[in-house]
Amino acid sequence: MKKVFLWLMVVTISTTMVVAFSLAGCKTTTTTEATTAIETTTATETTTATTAAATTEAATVDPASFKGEINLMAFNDEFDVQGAKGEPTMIEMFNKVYPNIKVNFTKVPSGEIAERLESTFSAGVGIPDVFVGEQAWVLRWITEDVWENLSAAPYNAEDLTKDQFSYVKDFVRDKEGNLRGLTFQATPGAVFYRRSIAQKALGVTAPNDVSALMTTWDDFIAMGKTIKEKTGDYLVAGPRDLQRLFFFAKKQPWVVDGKLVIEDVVLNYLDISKKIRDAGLDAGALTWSPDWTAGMNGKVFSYVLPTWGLFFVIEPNITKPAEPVKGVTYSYGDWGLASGPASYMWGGTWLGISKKSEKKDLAWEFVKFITTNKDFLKSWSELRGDFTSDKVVDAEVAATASRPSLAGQNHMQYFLDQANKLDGSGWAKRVTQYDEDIQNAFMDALGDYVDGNTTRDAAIQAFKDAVVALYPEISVQ
Amino acid sequence: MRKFSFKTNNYGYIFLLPFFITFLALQLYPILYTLYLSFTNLSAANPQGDFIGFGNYIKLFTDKFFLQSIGNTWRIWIFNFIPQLIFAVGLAAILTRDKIRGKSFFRGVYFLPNLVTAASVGILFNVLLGWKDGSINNILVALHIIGEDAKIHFLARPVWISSSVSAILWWMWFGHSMILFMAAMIAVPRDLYDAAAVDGANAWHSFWKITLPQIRPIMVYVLVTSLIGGLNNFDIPYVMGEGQNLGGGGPMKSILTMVMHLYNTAFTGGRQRGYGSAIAFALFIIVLIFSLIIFRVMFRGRDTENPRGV
Repeated sequence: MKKVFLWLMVVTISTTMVVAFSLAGCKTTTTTEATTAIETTTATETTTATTAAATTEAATVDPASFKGEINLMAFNDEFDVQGAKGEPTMIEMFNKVYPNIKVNFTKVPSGEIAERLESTFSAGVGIPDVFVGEQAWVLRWITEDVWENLSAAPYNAEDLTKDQFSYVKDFVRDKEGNLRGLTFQATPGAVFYRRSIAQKALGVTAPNDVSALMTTWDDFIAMGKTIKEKTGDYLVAGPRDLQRLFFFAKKQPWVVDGKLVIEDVVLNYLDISKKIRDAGLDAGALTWSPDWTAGMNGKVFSYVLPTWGLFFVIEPNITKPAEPVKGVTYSYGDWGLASGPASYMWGGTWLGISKKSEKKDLAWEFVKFITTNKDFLKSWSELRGDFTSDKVVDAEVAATASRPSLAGQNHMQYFLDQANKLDGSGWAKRVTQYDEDIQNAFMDALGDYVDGNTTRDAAIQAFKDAVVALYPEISVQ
Repeated sequence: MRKFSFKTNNYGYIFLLPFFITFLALQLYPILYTLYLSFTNLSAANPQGDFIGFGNYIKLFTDKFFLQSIGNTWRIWIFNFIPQLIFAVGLAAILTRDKIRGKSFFRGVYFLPNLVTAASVGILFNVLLGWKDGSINNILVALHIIGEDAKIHFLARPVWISSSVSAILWWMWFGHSMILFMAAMIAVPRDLYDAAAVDGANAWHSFWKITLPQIRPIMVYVLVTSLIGGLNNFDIPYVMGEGQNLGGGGPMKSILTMVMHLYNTAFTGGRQRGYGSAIAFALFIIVLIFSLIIFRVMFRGRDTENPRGV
């Protein structure tokens, strides 16, 4: 009797341990049928009615006839976090139209998701049917050939995306020019500025007037000096905030034929940053730090952020919360969007279908809906303020858009103008998979130079050394 | 053939089984596999990974980031450990004396920082050490110690950030060491102190001649665990690193530790798993050598001693 009992105990303990270990690796949140709880706006309701007409394929197939489950892995709040006023998530909006496709969503923080996906690829198991790629690392999925070719049948995505900005498509084309991913957003950039500071220091508040004061870098610095003199405020939170403006303006890729190319525009960034710091025009805050965020309700005049910066970064910080912090005047409604000395885009998330997926048909319905369904994109943009990848949809939303946080400015029209400018920039062809790491290494060197820890030449050398340490295959002069 | 019989004596092995299975699968196998990888050039650029002999180990001696990281790691550890030891032993001696009131309260308070996660510590100290609007700078200005224009850019100066990391580690760990020392001091037989008092020794003498020698084994334990932890230091320097590029290692790479360099090499950029494995083994060898040295030095001649006198 005792023996049997002990045996049972041993077996139970070891089973529990094994099960616990295997469970530790796969925390999955299931999002489905939550849709019923959502108070839907009219926009979502029309989606159901018009989907059939919008997509040719769906004209013959009832979305409700697709049945099954798909696995989605992403880092994005869009899929599972409702808007500030309870606006539905993407998955909820998808399930409105496709009630019988259950989306099992696994959310992994953006810093970890690429590594996590890589490990599923090497293990060959647990690869999600649909997974995302962010601008910083999406090119890995294309080089590693893990995504389906969406230009080919049965997807034929080229037709579906003919109204989309070409730069968001070109970015995810493989060597043969085939689309490997699709996106719901385009992410042109802006300079967000404080109207009240502009009024006091510069005597203007309108976006066009402010843009006119910063068409070149010299103007930009001169403007900063005026602001410092008149109000004592800072031009920018930190010189690092400006990186996208310079990196986007490069004429060549960072790496050409295995060699690191350091262009003048990049070196100019070192000099401009140094000038800003030496003249005391920045708040000395590091991007994303608490100081940096605090500056939005404080003494910082401008922030360089793209479309998503509006509703993910600026608005959450400038809106008076239920429990306001003492001594903080929330700057909601005091902002404007202007264009800086250069155009840029920053970020974006592409969705693709795993080559190993066994439910490619269902996965495609999901990707197709999220990235190309015009009715969905339109309601999404209206509900959340996101700027979509579809020019036609954006133009429709821009016809009436007005953002209260920006004192009623039409942010959609602003971004539409910017995106049209970017479309011909050829930027997508200059991007390499090394960019994010190389740029981070550059930012470290720039920081040391601006902070006065090193000389300009030593900083450039340190940057080169860091690149070689990260990628021994890249050669530097 | 002998029939398999299940003796009660053998139950012990079965209870050990879960540990050994997980140890073999999740520790020993990865360790050996890492050793194998350290002889290859496996990376994102070479997904097959060719055997390159000791190439990675030779590269260690010319890798200036690795050499710098060894210095950084030791500096951060030593400047954290010396004050940590002094505070821990000193406070333990004070708090084990019966006269102190509310000693369990202090014990809890000193231990508390150890429970805070590294990410929270990172945010907390980034706010405290901020530059133009940092709490410490604002306090210094308010106390007229420095002028408004002379605010210190703590996070951008190699000396300041390295000392800050040491200070944070000290703050997080002295309470932990203190509790270990308190346990050791309570275990010292009272009759030794009584005998010393009869011989006319004061508290100071008792501390140096009785308490310290008696707690030597615990000191060795604290030293070795702290050394291993210190050489494996990763999370605090990582969260204190400058800017959005967390693994950057701070200004002039002054808080780039060995494990951070290992992480950056193997898991960022070109994902040089082979070279990263070599760094891991170099780290292992360093830790092993210094642990052995400490054991030898601290326990030299210990066998012949009989401190209890019984």
